[in-house]
Amino acid sequence: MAAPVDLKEGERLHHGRGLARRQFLKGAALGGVAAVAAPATLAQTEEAGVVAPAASGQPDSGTARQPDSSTAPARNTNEPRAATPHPRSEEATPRDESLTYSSCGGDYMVDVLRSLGIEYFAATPGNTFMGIHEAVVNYGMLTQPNLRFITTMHEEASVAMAHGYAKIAGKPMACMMHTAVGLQHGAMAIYNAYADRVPIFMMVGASIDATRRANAVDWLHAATDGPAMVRDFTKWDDTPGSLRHFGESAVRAYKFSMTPPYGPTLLAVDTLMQEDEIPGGARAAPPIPKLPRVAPPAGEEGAVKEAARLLVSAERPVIYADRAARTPEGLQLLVQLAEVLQAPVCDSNNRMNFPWRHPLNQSRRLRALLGEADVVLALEPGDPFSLFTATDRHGNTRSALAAGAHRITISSVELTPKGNYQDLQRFASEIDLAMAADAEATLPMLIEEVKRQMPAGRKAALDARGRALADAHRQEMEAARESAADGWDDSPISVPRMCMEVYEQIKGEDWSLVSGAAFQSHLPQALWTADKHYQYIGAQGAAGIGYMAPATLGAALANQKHGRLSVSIVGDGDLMFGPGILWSAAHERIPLLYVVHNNRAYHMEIMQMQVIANRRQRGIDRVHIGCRIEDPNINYAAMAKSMGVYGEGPIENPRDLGPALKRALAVVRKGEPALVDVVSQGR
Amino acid sequence: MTVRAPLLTALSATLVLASAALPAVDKFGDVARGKQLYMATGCYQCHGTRGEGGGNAGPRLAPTPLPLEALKLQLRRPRGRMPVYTAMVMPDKDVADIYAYLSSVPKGRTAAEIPMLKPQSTRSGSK
Repeated sequence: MAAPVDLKEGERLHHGRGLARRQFLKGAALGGVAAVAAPATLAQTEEAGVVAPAASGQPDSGTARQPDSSTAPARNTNEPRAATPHPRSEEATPRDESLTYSSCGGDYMVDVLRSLGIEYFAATPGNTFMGIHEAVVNYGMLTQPNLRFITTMHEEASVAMAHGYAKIAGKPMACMMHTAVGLQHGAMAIYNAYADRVPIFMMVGASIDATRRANAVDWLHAATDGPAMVRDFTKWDDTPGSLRHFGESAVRAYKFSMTPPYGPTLLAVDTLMQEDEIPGGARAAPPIPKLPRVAPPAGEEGAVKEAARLLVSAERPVIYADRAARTPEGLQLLVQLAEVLQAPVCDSNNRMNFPWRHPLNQSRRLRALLGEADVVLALEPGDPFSLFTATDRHGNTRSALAAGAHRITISSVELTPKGNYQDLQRFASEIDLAMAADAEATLPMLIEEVKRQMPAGRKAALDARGRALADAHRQEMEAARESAADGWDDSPISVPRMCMEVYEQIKGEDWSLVSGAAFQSHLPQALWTADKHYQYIGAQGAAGIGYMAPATLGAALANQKHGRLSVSIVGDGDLMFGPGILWSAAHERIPLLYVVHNNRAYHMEIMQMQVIANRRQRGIDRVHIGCRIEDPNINYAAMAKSMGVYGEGPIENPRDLGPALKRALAVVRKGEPALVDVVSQGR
Repeated sequence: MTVRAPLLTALSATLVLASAALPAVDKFGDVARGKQLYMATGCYQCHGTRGEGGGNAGPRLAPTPLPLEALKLQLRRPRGRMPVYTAMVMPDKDVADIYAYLSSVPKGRTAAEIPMLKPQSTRSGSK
């Protein structure tokens, strides 16, 4: 994970409008001079791409913004100020329309955000956060060229992009919205990120002082407590009352979002605090609080020892990994634990927890293994009830495990429970040992304890267990290949054929499948080879559709700087929730191959409608009504082309698919997005 | 059972590659009618247009389907997430015709005959 940039007190930017640009040019031309002047600063800022940190600001008193310049501290007469504030009526304190500020609240906010290592700002523009927007483009981007403002066409797309980005980059992206209409648009995507335990740094523009709202729309877009509408599914929010308060709350928001369980945080930022001059001028800007190194919560020592004892003594242990590997290190740790125990690992496929072709990967045998298990270790299980329970079609439940089996969970989500939204799933009542801790942070201690407790005489038994599991893995792989051959030459194109044609084109490269694979029956996991954390990142979190197209673009953005080939298999229904993201992909020149799994339906709903209609014995010849996406068929390639994205399709003949993918990937390799529309079987 | 003409038109157009060599009638029933019913009654949604299976949504039905009585039992008293098909919704005659269609589906290529599915082709060369 990239370390946040530490812009120390004397390194923050201070400028008049002209000064900032001059310093940028100077910094670009005379970078060597700057390096001599401040080597430590450059070492820190190189990672974030800061070009020219400039002169010092002084800590202020930390008092709230003072919009009335008549009461502001004395100005530095060297700073430009062209106009006198307009006279104000007694009934209102209107916007300060002075022509020139030496520095504004938005600039300070940009300094704070880049001190946290934030590089990208995604937003559909809106006037309640123009003060930050303008500061990003006219101050931040000119002084730190790797900062980017990503234009989206829906707030849901902004949040979803940040969602996908964080799962690859391991840190948050910033996104900005209106308080009312923007946050309302973004809400579902926020819920997805919350349920997927993903950090996002969100800000909404808040028009707090009612007497300074300019018109009816300002009133319509305001709320006295806007964050309340998403508070149930954000980790933390605040409404800062001053710039100093903003700085402290921004660092706190970042810290909370990056402390497991990760989650989205939200600041409601006063519109005028963004726009107005920093009280006292730039030299009086508040300090930027330091972001500490965040240590994730690990399991209690006694509980870890007990878990190790149970695992070591087990004859048939099973490790279940859900959102367990937060980082690449998490994947390596899980491999270590599995190998020292020679225990099977069943991956939920919500993250890349375990190499897909590792002999101990037994994900497709989860139910069979659970039925024989004597100890199950569940790492960050999102739904422990369903894991440990077998439920028939009538809702009758029984234990999925044999009598006497032990259940252990390690879950950071238990540290920050919330009510209302039911993402915690049903209570699992037969757990023997529940550690409220981060699984990845607990694994090193657990591995050491397992090694310490493992009797020397167990090696032969462990080796035999490992061989049996390796054999089972091979058999599963062969069965998956045989199954994939069914319908290989059919049209509509079979989903295994679609997946394998994609893999055939990318397998020799440094690829990253940035979309979820549940709608493809997790065939990539069954048929492809992958062992890198970034090669798969799971899906929505809360099963909210509309995630895939924008979130995978965010992930591709994070992959771009590493030169990875990003591929997204996106459903046709999902894509149409927000097709404007294609324009964002083209506009931002983000290399990503979209493969549209085009079954011309909200297919899951058709299957569910069939169940209902047949239960009522009314026939199912009409269940497609309301669920099919045809008459007319959508031409996704043409749609992509209309927004500047290379498009291929509709591809109906399986023989045409490989060449189409090849042509599209040639475009992606040049740094542009491309789309291939594959007319496919339902599943 | 009522069959919606526009739907069938659209669906049958997607079966060009599949329908070339189907016999009209076999010992179980009317193959062509069975294919129509298979599409119209939604079997294909979970099991694929030729019964090849739909991954987690539904298992493979063809070629070489289960015995007719076993298929009928699964329709009338399904296990798993399969919708129930009572005789009111799908009479025995319709089941027989659908079975005739599934029985007529020719065997496709095996994994060993498809280069992309050979073991060495599923290995990654990623860095």
